[in-house]
Amino acid sequence: MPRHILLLIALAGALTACSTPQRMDMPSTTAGTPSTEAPLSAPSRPSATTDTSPTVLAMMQRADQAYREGRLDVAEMTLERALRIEPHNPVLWSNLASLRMQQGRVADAAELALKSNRLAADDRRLRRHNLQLLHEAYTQLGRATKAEAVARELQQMRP
Amino acid sequence: MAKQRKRRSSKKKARQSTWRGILLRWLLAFVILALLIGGFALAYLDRQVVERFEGARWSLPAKVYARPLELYPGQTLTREALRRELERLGYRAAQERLAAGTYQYANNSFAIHQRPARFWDGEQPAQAFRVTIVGERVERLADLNGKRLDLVRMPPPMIGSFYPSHGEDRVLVKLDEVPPLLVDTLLAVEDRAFYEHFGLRPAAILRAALVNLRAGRTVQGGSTLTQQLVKNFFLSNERTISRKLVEVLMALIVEWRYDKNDILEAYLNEVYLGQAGARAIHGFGLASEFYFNRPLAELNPEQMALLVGLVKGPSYYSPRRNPERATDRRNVVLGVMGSQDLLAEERVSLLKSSPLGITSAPRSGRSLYPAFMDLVKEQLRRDYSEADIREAGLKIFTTLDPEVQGRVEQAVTTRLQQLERQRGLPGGSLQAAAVVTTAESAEVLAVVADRDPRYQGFNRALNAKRPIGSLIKPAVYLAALRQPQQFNLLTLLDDSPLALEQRNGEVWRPQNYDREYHGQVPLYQALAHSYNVATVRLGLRLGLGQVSEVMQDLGLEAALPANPAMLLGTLELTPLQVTRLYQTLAANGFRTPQRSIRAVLDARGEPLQRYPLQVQQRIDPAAAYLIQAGMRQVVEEGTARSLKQRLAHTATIRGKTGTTNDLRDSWFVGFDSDFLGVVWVGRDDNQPAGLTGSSGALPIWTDVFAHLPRRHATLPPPSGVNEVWVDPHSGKRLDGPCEGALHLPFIAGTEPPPGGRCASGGGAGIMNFLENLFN
Repeated sequence: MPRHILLLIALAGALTACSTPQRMDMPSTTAGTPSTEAPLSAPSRPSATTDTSPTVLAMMQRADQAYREGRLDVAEMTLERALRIEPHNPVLWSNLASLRMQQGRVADAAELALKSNRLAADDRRLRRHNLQLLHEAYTQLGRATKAEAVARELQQMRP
Repeated sequence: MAKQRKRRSSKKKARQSTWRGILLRWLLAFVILALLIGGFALAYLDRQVVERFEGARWSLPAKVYARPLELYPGQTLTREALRRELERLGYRAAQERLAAGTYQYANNSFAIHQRPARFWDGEQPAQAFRVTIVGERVERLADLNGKRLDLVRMPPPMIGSFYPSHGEDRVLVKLDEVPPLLVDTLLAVEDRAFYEHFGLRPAAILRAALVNLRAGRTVQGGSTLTQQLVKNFFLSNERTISRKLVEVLMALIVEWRYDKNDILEAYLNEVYLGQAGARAIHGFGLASEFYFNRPLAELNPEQMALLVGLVKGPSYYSPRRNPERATDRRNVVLGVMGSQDLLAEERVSLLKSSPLGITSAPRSGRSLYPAFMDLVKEQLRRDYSEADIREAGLKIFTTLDPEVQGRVEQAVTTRLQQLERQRGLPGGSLQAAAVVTTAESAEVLAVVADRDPRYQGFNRALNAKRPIGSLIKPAVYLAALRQPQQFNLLTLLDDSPLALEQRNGEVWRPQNYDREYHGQVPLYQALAHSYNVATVRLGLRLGLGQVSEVMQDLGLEAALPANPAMLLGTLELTPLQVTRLYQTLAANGFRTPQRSIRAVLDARGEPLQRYPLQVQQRIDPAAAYLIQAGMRQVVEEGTARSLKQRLAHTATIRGKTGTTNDLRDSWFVGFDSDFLGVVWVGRDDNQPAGLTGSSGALPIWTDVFAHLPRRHATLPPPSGVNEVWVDPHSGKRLDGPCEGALHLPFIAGTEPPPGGRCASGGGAGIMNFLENLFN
C-alpha cells in the first residue's frame, strides 16, 4: 500500500486513541498539628476601648479549644468570625497572629501583631505579648535590624 | 512481424491494465480516505456531543451565596431587616408547627426553625431558636427551651448560579420536577412525535422545505427537539447547508447515545428563552424566575403557554419588549393546549384574555446582583486555575450583604433621578457606580455598576476608568505628613498664584475651584477645601516620586507618570481601584486585599480554597492617623461639610470629594471605623455632568451611610502621636478646648508651641474660666 495511505491510517488511529483529560485530585488544605503547650489566647486585661462581648469571649474560647485539638483551620475561621463582630478587638488580631506563627506563616503573623498593637492602646500586657511575637517572627525571617529594634522597644517597656 | 504485433498488443493491454490498476488503487485509496475522514469527523462530532451533553447533564453549576447573617445579643438589627433575610432564604410563616424553613413572630420575638446548611467550616444541623429584637437591637437569643445562645448563624442566601467555564446562569430542573402540563404543551407545539422519531422527521423536513420554497422564505421549521437541542448546544444560528448537515448528524448521535427522557431534560435546561442585557436566559427553570419571579412548579397554565411560545423566537416574542406579539403567540399555544385536550376549551378561552403577568423586575434570589457576580467571577479567575473552577458543583461563599446592597441600589436610583430633575438634565443621562466594603477586613459588601442595578452590561465599578481628580490629594498630603520634621497638619502652605512652565513651553496656571487664591493656609485646611494651587506647590516641593511612592504603598500597581498635572488627579482609575487605595487608609495604614469571596467548597463539600484575612503595614500608623484627621476636616469644615446636615454621628467620618475638569466626574470617598464607601457619578459619553463631588456623589454616599449599622467607634491614636488643642489662626497650642479650637494629632515632638488664643479671647482652660468668672 502506498506509504501516505499508511501514514493517514496511523494518524487517524493515533487521534482516535487520544483519551479525554483526566480530572485532577484537589489537594486538601489542612494545616499541620501544632505544639499546643501555649494557649492561643493572648494575655490581656480588658482595655478601656475594648469591652469584649460574651459572644466574642465564647468564640475566643472555642478558637482556643480548636487550636489545642490541632484544628487550626477551625480556630482561624472562628477568629475571623469573631472579628466580624468586633473588628477592633486587639486580642483577636493578636490571637490570629499566634495562629499564623503556628501555621508557619511568619511574615503574616508579624503583620497581624503590628495590627493588634495599633489597636491595643494602653494595654501593656498585650503590647508586650505582640512585641515578643514580633521579635520571634523577625528573627525567624532573618530581619535582624527589625528584630533589634523590637528588642529595644521591649527593653524600654520594662518598668 | 506477428511477434512485434503480439508484443505491441500485449504491451498495450499491459498499459491499459496498469492504468486501470492505478485508477482502481487511487479510487480505493480515495474511498478509504473518505471513510477515514468521515469516520474521524463522526468520532469528533460524537466526542463533542458527549462532552457537551455530559457536561451539561452531570455538571452542576457553581452556586453562589451571600454572607450568612449571624445573630448575636447586642447586634444592631431591625425586625424588618430580619424579615427580609427570612424572605431571601425562602422561609415561610409557620401555619401550625414550626417546621424547618418556617418562623413565627409575636411580641418582638421571632421563633425560627433553621434548615441545615453546609458552611466552609462544616455542616450546621437544623436548629430552632428564638430571637428578640427591641428597636434596632437584638435583645436576646435563646433556643426554644429558653437557654441563652451567644451566636446563631443563619444559612447564607443563594444569590446566583453559573457555570464558571462559560459564565452562564442555570436553574437546573430534573424532568420529574417539571410540571407535566408544561412538558405536554412543549411537545404538542414543538415536536409531537418526539418519543417516536429517531432524531429527525424527514417527512416534516420535506414538508417544511416545500412550504418555505413556495413562500420564498422560512416560514415553517421541521426541526425536532433533538435538533433544537443540538443547535442550542453547539451551533450558531447560521442556516447554511453544511451547518444543517452537521446538526442532523449530531442529532442522530444524540438519539443513538441517550434516551428520550435524558434528551428532553437536557432540552428543558438548555433552550434559549430570552436576554437580560448581556446575560442569556437558558432553560425553563431560569426563564420562570426571570419572567414570573417564581419557580417552575408554581406556574399557571397561561404562564407555561407563554414560555413554550417563546421557544420559537425569544426576542421576537419578548413579553417585555413586544407584549402584543407575545400575547398572540401565547394564545396560539393556549389554542394548541385546547385542541390537544391538555386544557378544557372553556378554560382556554378564559385564559386567552388574561394579562401576561410578567414581572417588571426579578425578585431577590437568583442572580439579582450581576455587578457583584462580575467581581466574584474575576476573583475566581484571578485566584484559581482553570482546572479548579471548571469543577462542577462548587459552592462559593461571598461577602455580599444584601441589606447594604439594597441601600446602595436605592440611593443610586433615587438620587440620580432627583439630580436630573433638579438640574434639568435629560432623564437617564447620569450614571453611577458604587462600592462599599468593611473598613478593617476589606470585605466587599455591595457593588453597583449601573443606575439600573439589575442590568447586566458594562460594569462601571470594575471597568470604567475615570480621572480621579482631587481624590489624589490625600496621597500628596500624606507624602508631606510622612516627613514630620517638615510638615504637620498646621504647617502653612502657599496658595498664591502659580505659573509653571511646561516642557512644551506652555505655561500652566492651576486654578482653585472658587477661582480665588488664599495665601498662607494651614495644611489641613488646604486639604479640607481641596485647594489645587497649594497642592501643586506642595507636590512639587516634595517631588512627584514621593507622591508616587505613597500611591504605591496604598496599593496602586503602576508608578505615577511624572508630570505635575498628576497632582490634580489626571490619573484614571476604576471605582474599585479607588476603593483599594482608600482601603489602606481606612484600615489605618494596613494594606488589606479586597475580598469578595470568603471560601469555596467543591461538590463534596471540601474546602477548595479559603481567602484568609491578610494585612500588611504599608503606611506608618502615625502618618495614617494624621491624614485621617485631615480627612476629618474635609467633613467638618471642608468640601463635604453638607454631610453634617444629613447624617447624625459625623464625628467619626473621614472623606474626600473629587471633581474633575469641567465637572465631568463627581467622586466621593468616605469611611468611618466600620465601613468604606466610594461613589462615582458621571456620564457615559464623558460630557460634563455639571456636578461636583459634593453635589453628585456625596448625597448618594450619605444615603447609604445613613442606613449602615455603624458603631461610631473612635480609635485611640497610635503610639507616638499626641492629640492637642490648637488655635488654627495662630497655629499655637491651647491648654484646653474652647470656641474655635481644633483637636489635632501631631507626631510626638512636633506639637506646636503654646500661646494660642481662643476665639473668645481667652487662653482656654481653667485659667480662662476663672478669668471670665471674675470679669
